[in-house]
Amino acid sequence: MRPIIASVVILTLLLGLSPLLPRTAAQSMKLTLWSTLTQDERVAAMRKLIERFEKENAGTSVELVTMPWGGALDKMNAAILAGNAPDLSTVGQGWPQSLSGTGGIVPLDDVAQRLGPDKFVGTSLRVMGSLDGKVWSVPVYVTPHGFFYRKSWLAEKNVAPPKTWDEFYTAAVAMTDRKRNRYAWTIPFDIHGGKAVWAWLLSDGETIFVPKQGGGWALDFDNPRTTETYEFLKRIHLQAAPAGAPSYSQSEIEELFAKEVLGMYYETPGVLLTVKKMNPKILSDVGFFAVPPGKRRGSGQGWVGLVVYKTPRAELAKKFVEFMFRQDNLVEFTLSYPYYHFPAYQPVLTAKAYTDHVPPELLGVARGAPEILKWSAGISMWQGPNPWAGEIEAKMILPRTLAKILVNHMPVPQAVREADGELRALIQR
Amino acid sequence: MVTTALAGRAAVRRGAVRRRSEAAVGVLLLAPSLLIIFGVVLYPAAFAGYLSVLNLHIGRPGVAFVGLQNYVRLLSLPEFWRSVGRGLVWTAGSLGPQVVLGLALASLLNYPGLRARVLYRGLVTLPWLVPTVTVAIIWRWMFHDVYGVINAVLMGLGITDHPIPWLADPDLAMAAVIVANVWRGLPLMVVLFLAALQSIPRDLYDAAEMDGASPWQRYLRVILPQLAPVVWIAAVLRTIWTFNFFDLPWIMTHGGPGEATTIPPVYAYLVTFSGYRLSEGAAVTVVMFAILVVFALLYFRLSPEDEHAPAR
Repeated sequence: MRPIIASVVILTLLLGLSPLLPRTAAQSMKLTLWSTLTQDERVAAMRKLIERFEKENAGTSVELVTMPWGGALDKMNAAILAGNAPDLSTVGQGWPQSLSGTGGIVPLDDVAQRLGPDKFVGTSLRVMGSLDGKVWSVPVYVTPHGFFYRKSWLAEKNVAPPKTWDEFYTAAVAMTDRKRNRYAWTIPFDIHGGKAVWAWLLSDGETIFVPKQGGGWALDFDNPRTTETYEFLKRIHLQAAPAGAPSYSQSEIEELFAKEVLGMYYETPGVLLTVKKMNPKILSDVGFFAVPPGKRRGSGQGWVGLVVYKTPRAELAKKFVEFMFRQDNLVEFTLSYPYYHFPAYQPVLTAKAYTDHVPPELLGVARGAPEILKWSAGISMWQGPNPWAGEIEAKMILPRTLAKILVNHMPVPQAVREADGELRALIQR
Repeated sequence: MVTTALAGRAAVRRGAVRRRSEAAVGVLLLAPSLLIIFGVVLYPAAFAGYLSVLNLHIGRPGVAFVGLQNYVRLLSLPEFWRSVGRGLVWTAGSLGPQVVLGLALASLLNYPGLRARVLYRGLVTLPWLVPTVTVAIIWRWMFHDVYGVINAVLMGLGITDHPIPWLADPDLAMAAVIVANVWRGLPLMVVLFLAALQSIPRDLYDAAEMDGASPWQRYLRVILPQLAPVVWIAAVLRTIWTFNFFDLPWIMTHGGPGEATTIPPVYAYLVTFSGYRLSEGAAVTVVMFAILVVFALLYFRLSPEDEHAPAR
C-alpha cells in the first residue's frame, strides 16, 4: 500500500511542476493570442481565421484567449513582467505606446512596410500605432465616435440636433423628464469614459500635451479650457443624467439607451447592435451627429491594433498579423462585427466585398466617418503619439476627475488641479 | 545465544528500516501541502517584502534598492490612510451583522421544535455556494438605481418616491457592498455557531431551568458564555478575511464612486496595476499584513479562556 501511495504522490508532484519544464519543439510552434474582442461574432471570426492559418501553416497552432477590455492592459503589463506574455494581442488606443516602454513588444516596421504604410487610413498607423518613429502596432480597425440620439425625443420638444455646445445643453435638458424616467446622457465611469471626456476637451481646443521645442512633451492641462469643459460636463450631468450615473459602465449605458432611459449615447455605432438585439422597434428612430464643435472641431475615435510580444515565436506571430491583413481575411473579419469595425486599411475600405455588405443603418455613420476621423484623435494624441496615452486611459484619470466633481462635490478647478498632478506624476520619469 | 543475538539485531535493523520508510512516506504525503504553502503563501509574501524595498515601475527602466522609501511615502499619503479608514468601516460593518445574524439564525436552526430543519439548514448555506463574482454582479443589479429590484420594492411600498442611487452615492455605496458581503459571509457563521450550540451539554440547560432562569437568562448566562470561544475565533478569522477581501468590492464598484469603496486591497491593486508602481503596491500589502498581525496579537491577548481546554 505504501509504495502505491508514494507513487501517486510523486506523480501528482511531477504533474504539478510540469508547466515549469521548457517547451518542446511542437509547443514552440504554438502561438498564444490574447484578444479583447469578446463578442461571440468576433470570437467566431477570429477562430475561423486561426483555423485557416493553421491549415496553411502545417505544424502551427494558435491558442485564442479572450478577455474584457477592463484590466486587460494591466494583465499584459503583468504578463510581460512575469515573463509569460502571449505572442500577440489586440490593443486599444495608447496601449502600444505604453507597452513599448516595458521592452516587452517588438517593433513592426517590417510588417508595416510589407503591408504598405500609405494604405492605412489617416493617423491610424503613423500616430495611433507608432512612437518615436517606430511602428509598434498595426491597426485592425478604427471607429468614428459621435452621438447617437432618439430623433423623436428631440422632435417632441421641437429641438433640432445640436451643432454647438449651448444647443447640446438645450437638447439634453429638453430630453430629460424624470417623471417618465427619461434622461439625456452620461459618460461611462469606467475605462471607456476617458474617450467621452477627451472628445469634449478636444472640441474645446484642449490637447493635454503640447510638443516642446527641441523634442519631448509639455503638459498643459490645468488651464481655463479644461476647467470650462468640466464645468460644462458637470452641468449636463446634474441636469440631464440619472442620479446613478457615476456608477454606470459603458455596457450599462448602451442598455439604458436601448431600453429608452437615455436619449443620447456617445461613442461607437456598436450601440446600434445593442438596440437591434434589445429593442429593434426604435432602430429607425436613432440618428447620429458629430460632437458639436467648441473652439474647434474635435472628437474621439476608437482604434484597435495588434502587437507582437518579445517571445521566441515573434516571427511566427508577425506572419499571423500579415495573414490577417490579407484582403479576403480582413474583409471577412471586418464584416463579422461591422458596427465597431471601420476599416483602417484602404484595400478593405474600398473592396466591393466590404462596401456591398455594410448594414443599412450604418450607412449614415459610414458617410460621415472619413470627415470625423480627419479631426479626431486618440486620448491625448492630437499633437502626436506620446508614451502616456495608454496609462491615462487605464488609470481613468479623465472620468475619475468628473466623478470627484459629481460624487465628492469637489470644485472643478481643484479637481482639474488634482488631475494635472496625476498627469504630471506620469510624465516625470 | 549467538543466533538469538543475531536475530535480535536483525529485528532492530528491520524496525529502523520500517520507521525510515514510514517517515519517507509521511514526508511525501506532506509534500504537496508544503509546496502549496511555500509556493502560494511564503514565497509570494517574501517576494512582496523584497519588491517593497525596490523602486520597480512598469515601463520605467532600471531597478534600485531604496530601503524604506516606499513605506515613508506611503505612510505620508492621505489617500492611503483614507483607504485604511474605509477598510476598518468595511470590516466592522460586515462583521457586526454577520455575528449577530449568525447567532440568531443558528439559535433558530437549533430550536428543537423547528420543522423541516434540514431544508432550512440547506437554504442558509446557499449564499456560500454562489461564486463571489456572481454574488457581486447580482447585488450590483439589485442596487441599480433604474433597474434594481430594491428600488422597485421601496418605490412600490411608497417608502421613497424617487430611485435611490445606491452605487453612485459615496455613503450608500459602502453600505451596499457591506450588505452584499454580509449576505455572502453569513452561512459560515451560522454553520460554526450551530455546531457550537449543538455541542453544549443538555444538562446545563436543564440545570438553569431548574434554578428558575427564564429563556432569555438561559441564553445570556449559559449559552453565550459557552459560545464565546467559537464566536471569538470566527470573528477573528472573518475580520482577517474581510479586511483582505478584494473580489466583491472590486466587481461591484471598482472602488468607486470616486474612491468611496477603495479599501486597502483595492488601493493596492490600483497602485500596482493601474498606477504601475509595483514596489509601492507591494509596500501597501506589507503594511496591510502588519495591521492584521497587530490585530491577531490583540486577539491572543484578549481571547476568552476556553473552559473545555485541559488544565495545565
